[in-house]
Amino acid sequence: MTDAIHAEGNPYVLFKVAGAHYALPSQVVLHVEMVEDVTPVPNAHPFVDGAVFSRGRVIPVVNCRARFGFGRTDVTLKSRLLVLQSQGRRVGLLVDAAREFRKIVPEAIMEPPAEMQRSSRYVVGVAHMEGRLVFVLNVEALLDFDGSEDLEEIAREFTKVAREGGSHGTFSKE
Amino acid sequence: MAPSSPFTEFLDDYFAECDEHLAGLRRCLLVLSRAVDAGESGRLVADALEESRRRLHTLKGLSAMVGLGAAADLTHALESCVLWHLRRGDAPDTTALSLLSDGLEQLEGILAARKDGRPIPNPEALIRRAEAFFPSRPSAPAPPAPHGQSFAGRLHELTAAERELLLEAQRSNIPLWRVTFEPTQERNARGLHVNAVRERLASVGSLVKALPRILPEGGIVFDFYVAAQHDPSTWGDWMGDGLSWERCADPSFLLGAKPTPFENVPPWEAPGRLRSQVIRVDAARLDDIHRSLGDLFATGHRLKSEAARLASLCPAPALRPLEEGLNGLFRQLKALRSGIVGLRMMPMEEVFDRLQLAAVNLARDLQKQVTLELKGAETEIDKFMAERLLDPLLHVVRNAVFHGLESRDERTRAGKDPVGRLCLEAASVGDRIRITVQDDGRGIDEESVRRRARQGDTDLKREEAEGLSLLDILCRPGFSTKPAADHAAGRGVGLSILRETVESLGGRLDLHTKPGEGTTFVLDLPATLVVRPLIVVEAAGLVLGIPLGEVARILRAEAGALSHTPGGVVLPYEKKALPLLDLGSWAGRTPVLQSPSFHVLVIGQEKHRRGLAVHRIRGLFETVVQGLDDPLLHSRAVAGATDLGDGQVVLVLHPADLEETAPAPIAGFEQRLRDREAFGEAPKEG
Repeated sequence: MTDAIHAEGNPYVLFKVAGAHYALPSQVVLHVEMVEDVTPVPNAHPFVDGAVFSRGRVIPVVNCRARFGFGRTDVTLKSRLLVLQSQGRRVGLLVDAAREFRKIVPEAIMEPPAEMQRSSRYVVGVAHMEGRLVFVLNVEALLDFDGSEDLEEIAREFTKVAREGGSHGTFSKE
Repeated sequence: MAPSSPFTEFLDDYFAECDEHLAGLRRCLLVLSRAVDAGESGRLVADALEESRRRLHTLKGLSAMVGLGAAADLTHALESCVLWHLRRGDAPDTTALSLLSDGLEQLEGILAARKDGRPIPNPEALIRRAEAFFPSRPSAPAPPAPHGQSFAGRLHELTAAERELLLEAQRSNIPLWRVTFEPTQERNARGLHVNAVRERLASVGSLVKALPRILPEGGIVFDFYVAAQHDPSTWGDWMGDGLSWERCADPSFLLGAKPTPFENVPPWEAPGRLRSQVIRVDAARLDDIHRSLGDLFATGHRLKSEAARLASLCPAPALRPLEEGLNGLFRQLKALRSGIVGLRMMPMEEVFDRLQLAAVNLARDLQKQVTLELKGAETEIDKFMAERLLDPLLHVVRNAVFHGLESRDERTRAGKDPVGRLCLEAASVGDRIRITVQDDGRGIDEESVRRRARQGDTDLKREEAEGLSLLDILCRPGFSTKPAADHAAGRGVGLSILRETVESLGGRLDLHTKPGEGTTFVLDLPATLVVRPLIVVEAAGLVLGIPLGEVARILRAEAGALSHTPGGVVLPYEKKALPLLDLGSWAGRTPVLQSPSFHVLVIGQEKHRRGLAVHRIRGLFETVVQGLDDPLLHSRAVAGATDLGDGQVVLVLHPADLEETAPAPIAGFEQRLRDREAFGEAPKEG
């Protein structure tokens, strides 16, 4: 399996949530910021930790751990806020870490494996990089809160596939 | 995201200019509708037709330039309709008005689709309809002019200047000739066209009037009325080329010509209406300025708190210049804020125009009659708020005409005026605006609504429904008492969106209705989202802002003074019981009311009066408030957010939405308070 990292390809921002790796196209990520105090907004959506100012604008902070069914953890020095733009909205995504900017060629992004039933709607595909599996996310699905998702199952699927894809270097799917 | 190219900027200009013309067309259409209903004609109608023609013509040209063929074709068809009426000197009838208003709506749809990058609707059906009724070439020829008179077109009368020319010729005994020119392709090719002839004739005599005339067999000729001493045969050889003439035996007929329905309409030259100097401002730029202003206020607050800190280190006189400078700075910032707020404000008039037009059109389609009363059209509202309210308000108005308004017969039978009344009102109340839509129709039958809700809405249990107000039920998404979607009023989503929109703007929606008498919707909103002097408080560590205008009084209270009733906690205040709302609990944190002492902000009027319990009052802050647009941040009672100088988001509340009404047991409590006072002793239990 060829490694996904090339000199050509489209730029992506890579980040980590609950031990798994994810990627979003650079063009939807406006900034990557340190997380300062997030003001809670009472009675807002359960995934939303609250609101922050970003470049003078008030934006919601979506907790990505909560979004994918993982439990929330405390914010650490490594936590980052990805300010995303999609369909005219600006939304912040709180993740455990985000340090890498990489290029991925389209051919290196493969279909999500069959185990991903509930989680596949968020995933455009998966790529293999330096021995780990990266889920390439669909930003519209990410920001579209259906309310009917089975969060526990989604979390389970991400964890399982990440572990298998990473350790073996391959996964059963073609 | 599409890159901004010169063409996209040009397109933005195109859309902006189209908006202006569309607004103008709407006004013209309103004038025409009213005139037709009142049986008027004359100057008013002629002006409205002429302005419509001009605007449609401009829209046609603009649309062709940007390659929007659907719009160009549609405006051409509508222009033909207007031209048809102008040529005949007729006021439009209901068919024409219907066509024009449908055309206008479709045009708006085409432009909106192009703006959003959606597929463009096909205007063909409407264009064919226009062609069928109002063909581009008039098929009915004007009757042939009797000898000596050729005012076949009733449009044409002499202007003051022309009248003067004619009278002068008469005074000097100079004869009047009618010279007729027939233009042809061949003559045109030789350079012999109308204007050439006009120039020549003007050089030989006094050209009083030039009029086109349609021949019975089709085709156009031009009649030039020239006052000249000598016979036209002497004017030159060119007179033989396509020209014929005769002398007007009695020119006075020109002076006595029958007044036309449109008096003195100058052809094609109505001056543009002079309006105030207006500059178009890009909405995004206004947003940027708004944000910069917020930053300025935040910096000001930061400086203020630093100055306060220095007060303990420096002698007071040394700090005075700094303090005075800061005061001056805040004064100037407030003035700047006023100016910027002013930029965002617009009179409700434009919104009312749209609502009026929709009501009038719909009534006409349904063969109902409605008159509109407008009050407070000059009341100003934030432009962005107006834009968000427009669609929901349109829905309410259409509802009123469609469902609320009875037919003429029904109304007569009920002893009402056969013409329905729809009242639109906007009023400033403090720093808020109140918009009212009131009809005198049949009202809403609450019982049947509740029945329908219980039957139709499977997830609405009976007990739940009892607790909901009529408005609550009507605003449930998907609720509708009509089995099928009405074309005009839509499928039961409108009211829920109205309420959502109003609340997301920090406002409140109320409904009053009486069966047989009518329905009233009242929207209560902040006039602008920008200007807010805030009382900043702390509750359980959360910093919140309450608009100064909402707070009647601030009290300090002790836990001992509280009374715990089954309905909630109350505080005696002005001989009454003030229900308290614990902002700590509301935020899901430590309740304020568990502290030995705390502060209470008294808000609301009369029976809605309540106290907000907080831990600390930080002070009064002048701020710029941002709206919380993203749906993820929508929370009832949160009107916006601001920065007080430390980069933290501070939520601004709209207290009226924090809770509905006072709990019931209060009445008994108040009675006991009064008893205690009256008898000077502890009241008996019970």
